[in-house]
Amino acid sequence: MKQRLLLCAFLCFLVLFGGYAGALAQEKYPSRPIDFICTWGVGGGSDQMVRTLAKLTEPILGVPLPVSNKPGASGNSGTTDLLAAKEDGYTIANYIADTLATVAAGQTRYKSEDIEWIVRTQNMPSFLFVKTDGPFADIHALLKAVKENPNKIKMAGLGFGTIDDITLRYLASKGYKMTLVPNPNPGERYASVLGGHNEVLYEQAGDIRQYLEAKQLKPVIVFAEKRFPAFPEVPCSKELGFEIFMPQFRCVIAKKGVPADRVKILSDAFVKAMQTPEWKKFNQEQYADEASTLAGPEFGRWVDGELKTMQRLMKEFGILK
Amino acid sequence: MDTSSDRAGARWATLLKGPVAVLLFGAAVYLYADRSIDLPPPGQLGGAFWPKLCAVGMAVAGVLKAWEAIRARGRPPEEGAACKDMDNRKLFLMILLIVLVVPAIAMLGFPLATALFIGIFLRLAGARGRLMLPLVSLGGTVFLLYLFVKIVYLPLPKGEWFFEDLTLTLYRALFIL
Amino acid sequence: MNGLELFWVGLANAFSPLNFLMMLTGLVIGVLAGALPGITMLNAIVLVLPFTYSMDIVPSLLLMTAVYGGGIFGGSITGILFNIPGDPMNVPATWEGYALHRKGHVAKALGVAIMASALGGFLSCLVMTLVSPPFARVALSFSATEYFAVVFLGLVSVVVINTRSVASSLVCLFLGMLLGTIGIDDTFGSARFTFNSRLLETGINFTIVLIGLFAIGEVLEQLCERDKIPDQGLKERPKVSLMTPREVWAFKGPLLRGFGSGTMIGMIPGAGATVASFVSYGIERQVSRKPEEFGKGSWDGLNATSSAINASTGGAMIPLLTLGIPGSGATAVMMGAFLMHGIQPGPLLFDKAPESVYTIFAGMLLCNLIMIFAGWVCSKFFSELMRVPETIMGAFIIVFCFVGAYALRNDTSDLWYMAFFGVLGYFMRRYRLPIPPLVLGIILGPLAERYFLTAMIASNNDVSVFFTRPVSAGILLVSIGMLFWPLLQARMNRRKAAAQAAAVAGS
Repeated sequence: MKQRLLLCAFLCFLVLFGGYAGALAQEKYPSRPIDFICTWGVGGGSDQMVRTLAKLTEPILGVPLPVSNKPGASGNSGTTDLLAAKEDGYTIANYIADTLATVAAGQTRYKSEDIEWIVRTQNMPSFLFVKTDGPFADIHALLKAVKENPNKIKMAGLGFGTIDDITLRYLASKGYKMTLVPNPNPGERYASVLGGHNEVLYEQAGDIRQYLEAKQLKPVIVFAEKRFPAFPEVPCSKELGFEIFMPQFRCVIAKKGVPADRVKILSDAFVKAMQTPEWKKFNQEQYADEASTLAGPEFGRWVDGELKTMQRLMKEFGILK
Repeated sequence: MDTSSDRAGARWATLLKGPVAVLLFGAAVYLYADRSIDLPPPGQLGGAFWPKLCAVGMAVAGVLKAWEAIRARGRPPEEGAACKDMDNRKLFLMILLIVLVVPAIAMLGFPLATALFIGIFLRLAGARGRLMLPLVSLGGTVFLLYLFVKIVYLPLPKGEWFFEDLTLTLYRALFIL
Repeated sequence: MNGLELFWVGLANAFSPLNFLMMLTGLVIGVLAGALPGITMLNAIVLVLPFTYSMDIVPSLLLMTAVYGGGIFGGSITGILFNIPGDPMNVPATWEGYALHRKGHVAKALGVAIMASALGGFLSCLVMTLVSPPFARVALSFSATEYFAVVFLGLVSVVVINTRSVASSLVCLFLGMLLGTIGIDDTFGSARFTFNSRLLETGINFTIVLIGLFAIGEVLEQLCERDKIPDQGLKERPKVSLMTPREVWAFKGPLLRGFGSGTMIGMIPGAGATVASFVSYGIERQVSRKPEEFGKGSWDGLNATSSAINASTGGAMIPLLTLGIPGSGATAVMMGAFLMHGIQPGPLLFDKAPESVYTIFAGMLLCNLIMIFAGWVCSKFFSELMRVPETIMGAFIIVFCFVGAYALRNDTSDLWYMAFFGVLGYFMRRYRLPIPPLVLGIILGPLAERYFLTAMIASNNDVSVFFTRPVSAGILLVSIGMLFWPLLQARMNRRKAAAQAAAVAGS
């Protein structure tokens, strides 16, 4: 009995080993599915971006890009996993500004140099929103109320130490003090503003499209150097004298060390996918900047710049010691 | 006289050793949370508040448990309270197997580790039949691979070094990839 | 078109072969996934999501709601058959159902779980169809304060359910809550109990704790008993017997109470179905005419909790459809499906796509009726597994647990947690420590903390908000009442007994 089993095992082993040798011979990239890690939860903005992009890129690369969600720790759970995988170009992930903020704050084990920045897919400015039927007609009414009642007006945001918090502290340094009510769950965050429990919402417009279309919420200020084309009547922060522009961005990354030719293949495929009408429509619905696409070393330099800005502001407002 | 008081002391010790352990654990967690967790931003409760609250709750629960134990003293144990008579050697081996299969899955990859696990587990559990062991473990593994990798697209661990290629080859041989 | 006309159009649409097929498929997938330890309802919804891209919005939504409803019920099957709940909300059904199984009522227990779930789901979908907008307004008026009160009620009900020792329950509950704090905290971003290890930084996923404690613990206890010859499985064909209309009428009380609490709690974001299952079970225990049966096989308890878990589905759909606010993981995925099809759920949905909305309403009502059939088929299938030898079942249960743990985040480090909690689950059984409070603590603890801290930040650390807002004050008073009611009852009984004894002695 035992001998027969051993023999059987040996035969299986031989067959498999033959196949193994054969597998080594072939080498064309990509020749098998590429795992696409979504570093945020199912159904959210990042998830939609990743799944739409994966769907549009599959026919270009000729292999499936199965998406797996690995949310947690502001996107760092998924990123850590990407960095633990082999740098063979068969594992990629998405990355967003909120995750970069944790790198800026020095909360992560990795540095931005450990990441191969492949392509920026979406760049979108942040806004402050208030209820349409609420007491604030525009930004001036809001700022006046904030100035008269310091720390009484509540702003719903992601959490302490995030980009939302930096913007809020910047406004406070200009004499406009609001209380940050943190809530990492987007649904609850929006409900708290719709239900009148918090007065102000810090968010990107694409994530709350339904409330904008239903005229329940309205933007009062966009944190950018220029007004946003979709909301021409909303003033930008620069014209009000607030020098703070921290856009939310979403991008695709890999582990540093992936061969350059593979990075090129990936980057070209994504850029091509982002020229399709489906993607353009998606980006417009998300209220993303029309010139979102940014690839190659240029993108890497841009990320560096963002990181430095974050660190400077964090030091200034005592988030980073 | 001495012996009886000793016995009483021993009885108290068995009665209260659980509750006291809970109480001490709560206190230790409280102190550790107080020391190790970042200070709160001014005017906020901070990250340490909730764990400390839970630790206090734990300590209070320990005191309650002691009170319950003292009140229930001398009463016969409730029905169904006795635990089953266990085969401790078998238990130990099974626990060892369950713990060891974790690094095995990461190193050898899911297919190989699972086949081995099912085989050894059945052996330990006392399954009979000559053909059953290899049949169930290999057949079961192939079934699971089709279910999870082929249908569900779950990127199950492929193992490291040589084993990664082995798993990939196996997938190709089974037309999973 | 008015609402009623739209509803008939929707009903006709729901009966189209494609939609019907989607619901049936979704239900079977959902029930199977819910029942398999390690594969949760949420996994199943995420799994079917890619298939919906190429479909229309209505069939894809019906497919997902079917998976949702089926998945919530499915875990009760394995709970009743093998004492292994598939998901946290199936824990109360497991207590009563498995106890009834041991008494020889397995066929009926499965039937009751199926029917009660289907009825609770049906009624809550009716509420959703008829009165969504006012209910949505109620949901919006709730803030973190009310959310906290509801979660607190859930925590209290799990403590009072175990009568053997309230103190043991509390110890396990706080242990669970402490385990839930491990990792980077949600509100302040500080690292807690991480000891600088990557494994601990990501926190512990409650699904792993649940499955490890219940499933692996159970397998070890069953297989390692001394001198036991492993069970070779049943020889006869197992049966599943549904409830008769007369029986449904007899249990109208528990069914309606379960439906009520399930629908209300389902609207509240966070742990809808789980909190609903425990709260309805706890309430039923207080009002039932046979409280002594609870924990030893109570039909009242099984009816109430089964009805509540599926009633929460209708409740959870209300804020999603009318406000565009997803309360739970499942509804968040459905929201994603809406968005993928270019439709924004929310206030405008009823104006923009009324026919789709009413088709979804009608479909969900129909779905709960089809669930009786789908649940019966799947229960039969799982009952057949009782004929598989215990050893083989055990091996595969453990493998499923590991796959499930891995599938949550595709992370091999989660497997360590699975092994750890599996072994812990066995030792908790051995030393008679109750497992459900620990599981609930790890699920509800982080939610309770987040809501509490949010309420505190919003009110400038004024604890009185919990008692000045009427809804939260009401819920908190009920919770406190629940906590002390058993004590009071025991005291009154004792006094009565003493008075009787005195009277007897006097005469």
